[in-house]
Amino acid sequence: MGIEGINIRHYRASGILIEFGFGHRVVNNRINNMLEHGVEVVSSRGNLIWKNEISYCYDGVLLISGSTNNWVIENVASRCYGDGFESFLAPDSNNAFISNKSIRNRNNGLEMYGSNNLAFNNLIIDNGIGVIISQERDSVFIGNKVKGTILGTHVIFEEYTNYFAGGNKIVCNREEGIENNNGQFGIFIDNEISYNGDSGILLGEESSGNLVMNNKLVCNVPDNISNRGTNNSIINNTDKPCDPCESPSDVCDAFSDEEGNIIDESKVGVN
Amino acid sequence: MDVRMKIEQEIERKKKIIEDCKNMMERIPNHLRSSQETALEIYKRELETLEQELVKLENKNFMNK
Repeated sequence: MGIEGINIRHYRASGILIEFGFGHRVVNNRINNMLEHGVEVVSSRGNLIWKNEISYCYDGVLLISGSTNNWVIENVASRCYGDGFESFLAPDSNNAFISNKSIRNRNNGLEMYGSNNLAFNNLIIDNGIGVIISQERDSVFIGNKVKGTILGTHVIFEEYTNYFAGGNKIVCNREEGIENNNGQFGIFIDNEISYNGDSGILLGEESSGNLVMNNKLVCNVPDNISNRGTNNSIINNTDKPCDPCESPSDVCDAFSDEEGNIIDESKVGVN
Repeated sequence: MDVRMKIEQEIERKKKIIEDCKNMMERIPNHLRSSQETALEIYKRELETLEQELVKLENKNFMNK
């Protein structure tokens, strides 16, 4: 089944609901003002959700009840009341979130529960919390940008194992850049983590066996890296404190002026 | 967020939507009512699934104790 080029507005349920089956294509639709989600995938696998513009829904794209192997690519989810993009629980595994924009959603920009999910090249800006990683193991977070979050930036829960975060740019968030509460055997490599209002990377008391290597950390307050766990390896990171009289908020105000143009919200939410 | 809390919050949200949906059913014109009923059925089915998920989780936690 293919659903392409539809404008969907003001419904009580989800804009597009896929239940069961596999291999559906949801392409280039504009969905706004749903009481439920923009696109909801329930117990379904191998679907393509591409180039949809979603705003003012509960979740932008929700994968739930054992939805696996779905491709969520180049969508925009903005100003949703819940999350921008979400895989709901452990059975929602092996999904890919690629080149999406998640902007100004009330809860999480990307909430990724389950194993072996991929987030690549997403732009996650001005959300309540940026990224949540929880339940099971092996997910990968590469080349994403997370900026301007309020309540938490990139939070790893529930003894998540073998998580990989590499090549991400995590700047100008109000709390920790990466908060690994109790994750085990994760790898955090080649990330740029700068000008956050709390530590750049926090490894919590119950975290263990993580590798933090070759990251560039600049002016995170109070510390660039705070390691409270056991057997974590911190190797070859660039750890630069703030310049004299420099604070994250001053630098971030300048960034937001520069980058205002990349969030073209004028096209989002208007049909 | 704790998984149990996550499911419970979602159940609460769904229950509220179902209640609102039922309350406004009588005010909906006849020609729109069937689609409204379809939405309500979807909500009820999803609520049931979440409640089952919660029971499964509780059973699992009980077995682990």
